[in-house]
Amino acid sequence: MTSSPVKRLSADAMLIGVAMMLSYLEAILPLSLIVPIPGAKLGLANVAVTLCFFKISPIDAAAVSLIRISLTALLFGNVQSLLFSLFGSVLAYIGMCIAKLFIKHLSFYGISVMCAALHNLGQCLAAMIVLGSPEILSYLPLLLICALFFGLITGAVITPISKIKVFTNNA
Amino acid sequence: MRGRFKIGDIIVISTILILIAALILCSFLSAGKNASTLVLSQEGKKTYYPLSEDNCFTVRSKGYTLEIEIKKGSVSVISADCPDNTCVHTGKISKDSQIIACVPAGITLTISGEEADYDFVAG
Repeated sequence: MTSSPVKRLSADAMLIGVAMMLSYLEAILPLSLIVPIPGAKLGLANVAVTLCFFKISPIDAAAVSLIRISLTALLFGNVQSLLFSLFGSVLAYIGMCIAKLFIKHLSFYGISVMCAALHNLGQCLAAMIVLGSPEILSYLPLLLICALFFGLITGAVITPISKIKVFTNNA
Repeated sequence: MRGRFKIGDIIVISTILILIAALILCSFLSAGKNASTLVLSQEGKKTYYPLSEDNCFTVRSKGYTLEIEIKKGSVSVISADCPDNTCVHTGKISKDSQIIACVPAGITLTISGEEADYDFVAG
């Protein structure tokens, strides 16, 4: 980190704000009417977390992600949605750590798709635990197809944003 | 800048595609059985309903009420008072191992090919 702590703190705070706003947007967006698959979400909030991970630092991304999840669950969700996001986000975070090892060979498209797939896998596991029925796994192919499309969309959103000066200065 | 597609992206995407194909293939292979039974799981308890009989019943769980209909061999949740109504939006299921899940109420409805003893048939 070459930038000052104040700059880092404000960038993190801004990203939490952005993530919260995107979560809210997703909560009110009637996506389930267009794509009738339970649990299918664009994952726009992950734009903020992914940017934070690769442009500021992995530790900051963990903080942004955790704060976003807890605040979102408090404001628009419940204990169950908290568990679902937590499982998904932890797996996606592990995915980003793995992606960092192969960063030379990956673009934000690949990273987003991988994280989306892992996020959905995590949610599937959470659903299995909450409902106590392994039959939920039959949803997984559908969720993975969604992850592929939505991951590419979020990747397309992240790529231009990552070139904004605020982020390139920090890198 | 990481702007363009790279070799790793192709590996990631093709891995996921292969996984999807494998999972779909698996479900096709296991779906040879006749879909004959509706399995209602509620907090670990399982209740079986035959698909051959048209039926309509109400399930209460964790403070939520779900109205479930069996009609011409397919199952759907007609109404539910849960906040997201995902189960209602799932629509009708009729094929083996298809599933409707209501997370807030902790209920899953699965179609099964296995012959079960109807230990409880709501009428």
